[in-house]
Amino acid sequence: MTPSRFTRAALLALAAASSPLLFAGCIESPQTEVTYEAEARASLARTFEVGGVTVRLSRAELAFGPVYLCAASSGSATLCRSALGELLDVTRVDLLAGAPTPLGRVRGFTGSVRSASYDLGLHWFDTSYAVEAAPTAPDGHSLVVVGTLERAGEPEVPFRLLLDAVPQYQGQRAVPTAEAVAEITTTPTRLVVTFDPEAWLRQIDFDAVLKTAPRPIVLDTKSPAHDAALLGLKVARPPELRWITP
Amino acid sequence: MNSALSPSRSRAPRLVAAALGLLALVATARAEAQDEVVPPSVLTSSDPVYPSNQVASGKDVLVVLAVTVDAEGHVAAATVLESGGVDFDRAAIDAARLFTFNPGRRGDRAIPTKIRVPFHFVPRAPTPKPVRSGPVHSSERPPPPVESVQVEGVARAPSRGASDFRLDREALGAAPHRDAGELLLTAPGVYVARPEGDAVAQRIYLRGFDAVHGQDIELRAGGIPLNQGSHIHGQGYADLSIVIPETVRSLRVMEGVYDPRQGDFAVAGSAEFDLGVEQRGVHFGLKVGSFGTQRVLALYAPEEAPQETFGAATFRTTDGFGDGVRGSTSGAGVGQVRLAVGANTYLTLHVAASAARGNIAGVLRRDDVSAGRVGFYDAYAFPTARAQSAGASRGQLGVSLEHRDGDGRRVHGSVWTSLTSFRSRTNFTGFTQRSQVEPSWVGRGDLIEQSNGDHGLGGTFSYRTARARLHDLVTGQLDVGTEVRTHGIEQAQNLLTAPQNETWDQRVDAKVRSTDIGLFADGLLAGKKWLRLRGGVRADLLFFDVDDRLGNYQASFANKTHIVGFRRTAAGLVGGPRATLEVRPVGALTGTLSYGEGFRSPQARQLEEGEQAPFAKVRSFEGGLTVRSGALTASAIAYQTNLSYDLAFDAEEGRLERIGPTTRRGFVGTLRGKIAPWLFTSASATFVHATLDSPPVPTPEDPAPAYLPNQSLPYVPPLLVRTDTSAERRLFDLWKQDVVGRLGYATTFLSPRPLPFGARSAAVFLVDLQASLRRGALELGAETTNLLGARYAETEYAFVSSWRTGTPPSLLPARHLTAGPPRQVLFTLGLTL
Repeated sequence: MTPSRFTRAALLALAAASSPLLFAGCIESPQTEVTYEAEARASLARTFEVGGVTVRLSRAELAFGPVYLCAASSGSATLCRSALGELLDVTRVDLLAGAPTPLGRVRGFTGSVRSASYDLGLHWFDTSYAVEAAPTAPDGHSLVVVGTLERAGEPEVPFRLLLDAVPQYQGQRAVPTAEAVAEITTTPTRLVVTFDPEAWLRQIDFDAVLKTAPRPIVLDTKSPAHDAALLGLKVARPPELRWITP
Repeated sequence: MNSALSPSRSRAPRLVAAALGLLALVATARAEAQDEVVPPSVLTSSDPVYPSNQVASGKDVLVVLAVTVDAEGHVAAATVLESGGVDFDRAAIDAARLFTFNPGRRGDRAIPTKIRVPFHFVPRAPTPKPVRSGPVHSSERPPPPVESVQVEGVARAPSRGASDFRLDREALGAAPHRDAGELLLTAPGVYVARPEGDAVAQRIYLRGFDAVHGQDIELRAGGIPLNQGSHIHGQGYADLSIVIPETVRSLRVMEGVYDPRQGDFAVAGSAEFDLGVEQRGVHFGLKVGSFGTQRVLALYAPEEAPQETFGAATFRTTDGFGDGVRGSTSGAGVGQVRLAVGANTYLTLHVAASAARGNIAGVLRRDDVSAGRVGFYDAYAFPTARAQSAGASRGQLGVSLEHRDGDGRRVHGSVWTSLTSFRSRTNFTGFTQRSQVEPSWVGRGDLIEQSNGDHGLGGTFSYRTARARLHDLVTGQLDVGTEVRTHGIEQAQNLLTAPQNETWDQRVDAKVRSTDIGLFADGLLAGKKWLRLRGGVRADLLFFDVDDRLGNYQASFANKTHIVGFRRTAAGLVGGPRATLEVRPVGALTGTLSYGEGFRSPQARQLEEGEQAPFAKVRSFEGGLTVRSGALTASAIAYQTNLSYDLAFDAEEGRLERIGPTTRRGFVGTLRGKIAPWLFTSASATFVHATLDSPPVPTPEDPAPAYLPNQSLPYVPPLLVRTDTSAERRLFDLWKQDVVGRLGYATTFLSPRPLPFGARSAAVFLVDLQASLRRGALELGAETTNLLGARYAETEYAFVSSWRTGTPPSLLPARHLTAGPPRQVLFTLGLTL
């Protein structure tokens, strides 16, 4: 073989061997990026009775987000430094609206979700020096409920519940670990967050409120009723995260 | 001493072989074959012609060529050692290329040799006469001996297969290289980046391995190992700043682990920089160009001394590209002397030092770049990003002694010591870290300060027996040796607040003592011409003593139950065979099969008390075919490498962490040589399919990590194509002196690289170009890197960061990049006296 023919043959072989098309299908990855819609659902009657007190609501708004979905069974800051999915929008949800409220789009990756953590409109990020309220937080609080209380035979008394779900320390979420189990694949899905605000309000001893609270009734962080409702929100009937096929 | 250097023929092989259980083979054999090099002799010659355009000058001109004679007796290369002007040089080269030789021999084996051939051009003489007994110029006369013989430097190690690449100056100098690390680019399957600036070691990719700063590639310069075990910035950290590119005579890149001399970190392979200067004299070089870059070089190589004797120093400053966050100042100096201290006995002294300090731009989130929140070549505006920098220094001293006997025996010993310092401040993740000392401290900027001081001492001793005839058709030889090294390491890792430089967390504070004792045996069984088996075993004992001063750490809020600190020792043994079978059925074709087992030592701080040091074990397989035709060589190689556990970069800690066992399979095609006497080219394509072989280790954060069989390893480009081409010709006369033009360029193509979480980086295509004009002692030129101005990510990562560019912060792993250098033009001035 002459050098020129040799060169030609070798170059052709080299060119063929270096063709990216030959190897285009070889890259395998166990996780792929996914994105899907999230929505909030709530069922809250405008009027209901708790312990002989009739509660009539004119406003009930909740701030929800951001939400982080974790591969760990705990969503705490130390065990969920890298999320499997996240919903960064902080959405104000009208709990009296009746219709589902869009929460934005979840961005993340395929894999097993084992827990979630989230804020309720008030956050204390790593880079914040103090707790801050999201612009969408109702009146700067996590939850605002406005209405009246009426015991049979007594006049209606207006009240306002200003609930603050505050992260315990810097870099932590207000709800550091919440139940959330799902296998996220590339199959289309939708995250549904269901709130049960009536259950939260039922944690409050409205009879005691009517008896002891100064007028006008404002149930804020100084009130035992605030802590009772917060317990309902975070522990007794926390928001439920479910993934459904749209 | 004398007896050690000159053992008797009958006794020494027995002693050595008995130690290794191979006595029967060697001791019964008759030491017959000679290892002394027999120089090539001229078979046919051609008369050089006195250049017609120079007849009028009446000059009496001497041209000295370095002629490489291949194992078949053909002239593979001819380069000018002493120029007589372009016309005379060309005439001498044209004549030399027509010579044929009886090839040089070592023992029974024909070997490539490099000989020094002077041509003396005398005006009006019918044929120019060679100096003294130079090459013949008439077929009637008997071929005279060549003037002098050098055999490829000090001692060219035997080939270990098709992936044992030897790159000479012609290949290394074809394209511009910013530093010695970029010389590696010429080897097939190698990509080199420097994302952390001029004061941090290169990041090297080799045949499917992300060797990072040296974890998977053993690097040596002048025989001294450069890798640093248990380095805080990355296992096997090796900074090539101490190597001045102009002093690299050749580069051996061995891809795979097939030589028993390959030690710790030879996982993907090894690279050895052979230091020497072919062009003798005094040389000054200056480069000035883009981004305020200036580099000066002074090199002195005494005419009468061997190529291994030289001194050189270089200084470089640059403002760096981007918005003022890549400036650096660096320098290196090296001096080396090779002395004949007795018959066939040589002493080599080597001393070198380097120092560098550079700013680091750091990584950028790709989404921030896309949204225009930060410029591609810029850095984040926060003090914690602007405070990124590194400083490093290294000094090393080496002494080696070599004695060769005519019967093939060789005794070699060397000692070296090194002292290195390293301090870096890098922030990969922005504002995500929480102090472990005071957990309420958070969000102060993840500026990780790492420091590593290392004092190393080591050496080698080896003895090679004479070649022995084991059978009518088989000869054998045995080489045994030991390699030892011990290191004292002080290291720390802290978090700093910038710009106050206050420490807000301590992560590492440790003292490590490590010792590596290696033993190898390397044998040769050679059949008649066409069959050769070379190989042996290597075993290493590694010992670690760790004083982890922050071990068993207690946070400040916890009740004190003990005194912080954890001291421990660990040791381990590792060993394995390595062999290469070489078959040469016809003269132009060589087939090789190779197998070898290598290792990487563990990071000392990850060891527990009494733990059997868990070496990363690598198994390499390879088959190759090499075809030589004239001055061209082509090879095709298929390979597989299995690694027991791999490491990957962890941005949160700024260092390497374990990921599990991995496999690489691939093909390599290469072509190298002279297409025409004035045109050199080297081209290679390397394909690799690198996969993770088992699911990643579960952690509390991810109890069941996602895994797919054949999952691609991140960051490794599946396809890498590289070409280096150069041409050199006489262009014209200027004031009665020839002007020689030189043009060289290189192309690099990286296919898209897989990234974690299903992402994939963009392909990269780079072109580097250099051109120069030389007239006499003066050379003017220009070189440009990234000629096409490609805007590319030199490295890409995927991890969680928070740079306060979005609220709420994202906790999803995001793509991050370090910008590759844009187009850079340097004007060069060289003066050779």
